[in-house]
Amino acid sequence: MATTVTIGSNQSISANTTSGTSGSGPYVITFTSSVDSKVVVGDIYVISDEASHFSQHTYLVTVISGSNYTLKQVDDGGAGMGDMTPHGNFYTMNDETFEMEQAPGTFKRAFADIGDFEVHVNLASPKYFGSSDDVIGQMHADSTFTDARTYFDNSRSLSSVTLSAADGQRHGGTDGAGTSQVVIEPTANAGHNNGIIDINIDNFIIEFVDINLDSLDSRNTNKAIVLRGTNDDNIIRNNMIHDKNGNPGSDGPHIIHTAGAGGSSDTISILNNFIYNLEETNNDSVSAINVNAWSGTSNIYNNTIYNLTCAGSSKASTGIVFGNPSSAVANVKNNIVALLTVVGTSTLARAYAKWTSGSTANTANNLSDDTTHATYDAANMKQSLSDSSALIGKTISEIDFESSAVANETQRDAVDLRIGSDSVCVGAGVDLGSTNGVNIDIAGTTRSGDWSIGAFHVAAASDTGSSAFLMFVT
Amino acid sequence: MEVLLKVNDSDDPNSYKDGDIITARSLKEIRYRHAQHKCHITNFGFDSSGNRVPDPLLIKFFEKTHKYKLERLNSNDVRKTNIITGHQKIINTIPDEDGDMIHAYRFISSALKSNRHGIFRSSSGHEFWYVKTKKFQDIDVDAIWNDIETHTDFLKLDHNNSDLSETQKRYMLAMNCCYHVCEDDDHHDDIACLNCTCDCDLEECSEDFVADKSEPVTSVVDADEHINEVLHARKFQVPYWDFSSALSLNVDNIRNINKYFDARVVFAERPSAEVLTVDKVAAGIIT
Repeated sequence: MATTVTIGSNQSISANTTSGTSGSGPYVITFTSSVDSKVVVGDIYVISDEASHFSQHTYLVTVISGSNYTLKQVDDGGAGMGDMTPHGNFYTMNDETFEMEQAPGTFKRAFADIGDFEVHVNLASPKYFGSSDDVIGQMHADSTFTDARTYFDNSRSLSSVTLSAADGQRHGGTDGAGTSQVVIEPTANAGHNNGIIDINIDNFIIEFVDINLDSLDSRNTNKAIVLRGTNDDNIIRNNMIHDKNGNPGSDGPHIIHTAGAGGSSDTISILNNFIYNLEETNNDSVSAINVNAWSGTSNIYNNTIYNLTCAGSSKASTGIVFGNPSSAVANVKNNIVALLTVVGTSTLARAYAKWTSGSTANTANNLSDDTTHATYDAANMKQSLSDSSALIGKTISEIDFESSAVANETQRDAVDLRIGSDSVCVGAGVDLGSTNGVNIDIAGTTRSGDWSIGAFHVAAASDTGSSAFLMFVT
Repeated sequence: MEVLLKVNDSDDPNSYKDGDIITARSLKEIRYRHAQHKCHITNFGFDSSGNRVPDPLLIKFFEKTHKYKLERLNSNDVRKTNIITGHQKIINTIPDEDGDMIHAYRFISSALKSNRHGIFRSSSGHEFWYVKTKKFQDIDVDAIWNDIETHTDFLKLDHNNSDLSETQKRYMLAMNCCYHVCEDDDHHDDIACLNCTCDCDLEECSEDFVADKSEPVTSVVDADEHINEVLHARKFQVPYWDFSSALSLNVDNIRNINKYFDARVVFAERPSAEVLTVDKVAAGIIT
């Protein structure tokens, strides 16, 4: 069973008084005044009694149909009153008439921040969802999420855990304010080599979140998402992760990183993400997607990686690194890696690196630009793979990002990795089906026709009816 | 600084222990979160053309939280103003020497599809909007609150605590604390610095002090691969049970998940952050 619970800082969305009830739990409730449109399925309704049982009950909003709100009691506050409707059981005294009347309740987000949600996921007997549910933590842009590090280390017997930005509050492929779209922008330390989202559970998804590291220049945070090893069927998709500058300590930025091997039959998927503007300033390497330690299958599809800068003459800038254990199977397709800057020898500019020859790589239609060394380009990937489907040596102009200049902070602020219709990436990808939502691009658009390489899809002219084609048929 | 503490050991031995600091927030961060609620874009409506109404409070909030203002001048040209430096330039569909460009029509028509868009229209009829949020450390939250107090009845001083969720009230304990800056060397007989013999100056904790309070304890597994192992969920704790007398904490009530106990106090009564927060490694509680 899938259960949605909201996560957001708005703990007083709307106060409303019930006007009617039907059903025997869950209850279909109506209210005396219209409920704020910010209230959604997954919020809670909290009501207290001041007359008889003096308890506080909490209800989860499970369905909204017009003015009918289906409320499921999830907590009776320990009063032992059992499951009862919020209408007709909770009273307060009218200050003017001194008569008891129906008490109002308050709609709130179920959880105030990601850490709050994680604590509940880790409970042996969770209150807001069943112990074997598919739980969807739906994040709301009430304010910027500032959680420095959340460690999903135990999901008990839950079938799956998802962190997802609410519809209408997703980034669409450009960074933005935390009140317009769901943004995680920590201000405090995650601790070196820990992730802002640190995952050690199977069946976990994070999607459509803008993870902004821009306020962490002086902090020791160097990883956005860490997979600790218990990560079978983890999916990281449609996220933007960007703007890590500075010196986080003795290791540079490694933005999506598997810190554990997992099992050889385990699978992780990293799909349709933008990762950009990673600039180390003190003698360390940089990587965007580092699944080198993963011993199972990794599906790395349709990601766009841009502007990686290491520091130090022996340090590397690496887009995607994978395949150290011999059991590893890496499926690497339709990715863009561009603008790698290094201090030392050019062989340290590495778009793709299959670390050992003994592992398996299935590659297709990846792109590398003219800043990578040929040994590590989209065709060779350190192992002379000679992938003929690769696009190599492309210029930034050919890739045609909306905005790509990075010479100063003002320019980096404007980086926009959506591609234009003239891009060599348009129509140059391979169709990867729809498993795990790989066909949904970073802006939420369903890919059709010939796929674009990278996270942002632009319909190819042959799929839309180009002007030339239209001229021909008319 | 406000801390949210785990109450009772987690039944997962690898997770939080009683008193662990799950989250630490500075007063600035708390006030900024409240300011985001007061100035939330969905609090402000649209004009008849679908543009966001340029309410003075919302405009001031955007000016103080964003780096750039863009104003459409005609079908293609957009004036881009760096709000911090005042530098202006005109951008359009052709990349300038910095590579900066914009398809104004495409951008605006796309943005207007969202009910959270921030496209305004000036009195001269031109659209304008703001892009790229400032880093948190560059945002003047007090100035934002000056604007909120000017345009609304809300007061900054009423917004010094986070709004807690129902689960935070049940499973966590909220406390707050601050620096006690003292001239006297030997007056701290009272462990919580509540009854000092001198007049301590109370100051909000620095961002750096707050920043490491929710870090875990880790050990290096493979330095070359940048891999560590999590040994303990948190390095810092507040042993609230040791402060039960000094801070009037009812430990039984705190540990009863069916009761809500809020240990946060007004600024003048806040205990010393250095006394309250304990580094469990340095104290030998964990290794």
